[in-house]
Amino acid sequence: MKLSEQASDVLHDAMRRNKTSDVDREEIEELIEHMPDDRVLLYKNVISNPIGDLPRYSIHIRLQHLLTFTTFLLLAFTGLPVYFIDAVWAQPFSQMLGGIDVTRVIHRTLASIMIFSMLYHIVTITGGTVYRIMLGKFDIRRTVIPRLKDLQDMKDDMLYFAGRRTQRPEMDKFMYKQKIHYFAAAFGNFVMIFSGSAFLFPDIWASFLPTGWASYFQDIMRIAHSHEALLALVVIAFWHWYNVHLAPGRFPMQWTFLTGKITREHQMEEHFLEYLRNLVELPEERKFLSALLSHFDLTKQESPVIGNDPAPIPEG
Amino acid sequence: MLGMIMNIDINNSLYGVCPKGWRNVASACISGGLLYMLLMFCGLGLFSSNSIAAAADELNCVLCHKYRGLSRIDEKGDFRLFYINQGLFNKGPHKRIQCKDCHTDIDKIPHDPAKDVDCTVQCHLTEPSGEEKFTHKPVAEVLAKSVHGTANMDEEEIEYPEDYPYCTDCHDQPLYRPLSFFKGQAAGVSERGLSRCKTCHQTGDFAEDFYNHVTSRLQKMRVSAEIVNLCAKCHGDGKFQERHGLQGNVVASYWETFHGKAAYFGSDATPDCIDCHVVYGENVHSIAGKDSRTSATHEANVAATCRASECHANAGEQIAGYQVHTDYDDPDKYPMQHYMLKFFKYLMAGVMYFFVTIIFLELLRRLFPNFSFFKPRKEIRQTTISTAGNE
Repeated sequence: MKLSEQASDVLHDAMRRNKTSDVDREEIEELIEHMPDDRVLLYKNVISNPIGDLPRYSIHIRLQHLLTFTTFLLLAFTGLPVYFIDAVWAQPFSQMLGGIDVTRVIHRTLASIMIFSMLYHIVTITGGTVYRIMLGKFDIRRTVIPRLKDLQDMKDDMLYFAGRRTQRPEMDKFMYKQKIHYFAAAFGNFVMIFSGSAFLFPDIWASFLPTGWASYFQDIMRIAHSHEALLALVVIAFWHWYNVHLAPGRFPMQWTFLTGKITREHQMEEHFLEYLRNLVELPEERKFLSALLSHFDLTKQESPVIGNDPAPIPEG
Repeated sequence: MLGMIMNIDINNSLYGVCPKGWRNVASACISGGLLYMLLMFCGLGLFSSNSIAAAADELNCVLCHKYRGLSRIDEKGDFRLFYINQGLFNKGPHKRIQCKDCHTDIDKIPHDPAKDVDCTVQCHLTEPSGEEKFTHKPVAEVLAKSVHGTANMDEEEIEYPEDYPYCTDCHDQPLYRPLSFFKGQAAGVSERGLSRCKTCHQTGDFAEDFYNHVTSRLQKMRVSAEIVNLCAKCHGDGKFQERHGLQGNVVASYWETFHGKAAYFGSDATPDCIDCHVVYGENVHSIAGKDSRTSATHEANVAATCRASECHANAGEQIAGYQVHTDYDDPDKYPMQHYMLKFFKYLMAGVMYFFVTIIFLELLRRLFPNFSFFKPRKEIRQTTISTAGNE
């Protein structure tokens, strides 16, 4: 396989940062040369452990996800009856959880755990970034920070879904979907905490807000809190759960959030650039891939399995 | 049964101590006494339910008014029910008042249609702390001067006199709504509490009466939602609000707030209409409009009202700036709220269309790997033909 300019840049950058020896460099380059041009062939035939093969999330990130999603769901359960107050199920459901005087305590307790999770996350990513910078391993392409490439990836991916391209774009550790979702969640978290504090401390907010703002502050916070919560719930139910649970190939679920590992197949399909880094960083992955390539003899196949359009693989 | 057993026991014991000649006499006396007591118990059981009503009903009005169907259609075409539920009456605050004390114009039986009751007449009760006859007049005077009364208005100003509430519009006791009934709802009397009073006050109904009288004023008799629904009888009516130049649907906007939502769920710790519209510690009948300087909702008093009852004890004066009873549908009066709501509606729609479109496209390609919007039609035909040929 001939790497695109972008991919080979990522590969060489990773080898430089990892101070890869010349022997290893040769091995990696030979391996990549033997990879089939069509990545679809590769990830459709690769052997993957559904529990995960390659490292992706640290224990901290997994803990934060667990804390956030458990509190999020329970916050939604205790909050929804209050928003849909005159719905048939609202009163019985709230009663089931202990009645309004109990759920309001649960809601606030869970909110503080969610805020703790957010602070924990900020500490983790800040500390991790500083640590990587000190080691000289920090690479902005490997973070969730949005780049112009993500727009290009998204456009290419849409073209692939529509049948215009035969290959999905070569995406990094965090693809455009994940970046959108991450910042949507961050924005949502901020809105929920900010507006929630308005209900918990109305007098404190009133004490320093300019009079003109204070007049409508409570109302717009009330609108923001409930509607942002609904938006988050709908996005989680339709978007997030589709991507990690329901999408063909991911069903019934990705184990990444528990094991911290991503399957080889998934890494090759959606995070190819990260897979190249895995090849540099993990000698056992090189061994595995080399065995796999010789076993299936994928190099000999020429026509792609998927897509009748024999157009050449677009680059970038 | 119990009496028979006791009878035998007592007789047996008497045989042991009494001379022989007395036996028959003693036996006859005791048997007769027990029979008399038995009759007494039966009598009490039969008549006790009416005994209290009888005490208040010297004129025997319930002779007719005890019938549940006693009713007629009056001249205005309204259905009027004249049934008196004695059980409810005897639990109510007026149980010691004679019918005629309030229905003053009735002096013969059968009587003509009675006039409406005037709650400000003097009752025949004497207030225990003084010698004066009791009347609700002072309350009526406070009410008349409040925003719910017409005393401070000129004759021309009173446009809709029938809209101003009378005592019974708010004090809608169970007796005044005789067709409704409660299920499993105890009246505000605690038997255990009462037993302490009865330790000393053993005679008559003294303990019940005064216990009720005092505690019913100390307890919160209605939960917040009931108070709101009471006020909503008039203020929840859009036409009523318009007639009196009042702000939109204040009840609907109250239910939107967290105060309202907690009340809706039955919490009684949450403020209802009275908590914010009556000056803390004042007579509830003295509600004034928000333009009045004495009103709890006057600009200068709002902060004090929020601080009262330890609701927002630390609230500064600025809390008065918060808008309440907001109508989101009114962009002229509440532009920020209106457009914020719109923003979130469009945001939700935009986000969902965006995500669902991506999911749709992705699913197409994942479920049908050969799918393409751009595939030439010819190729598909060829595939179909060749497959058919093979078969």
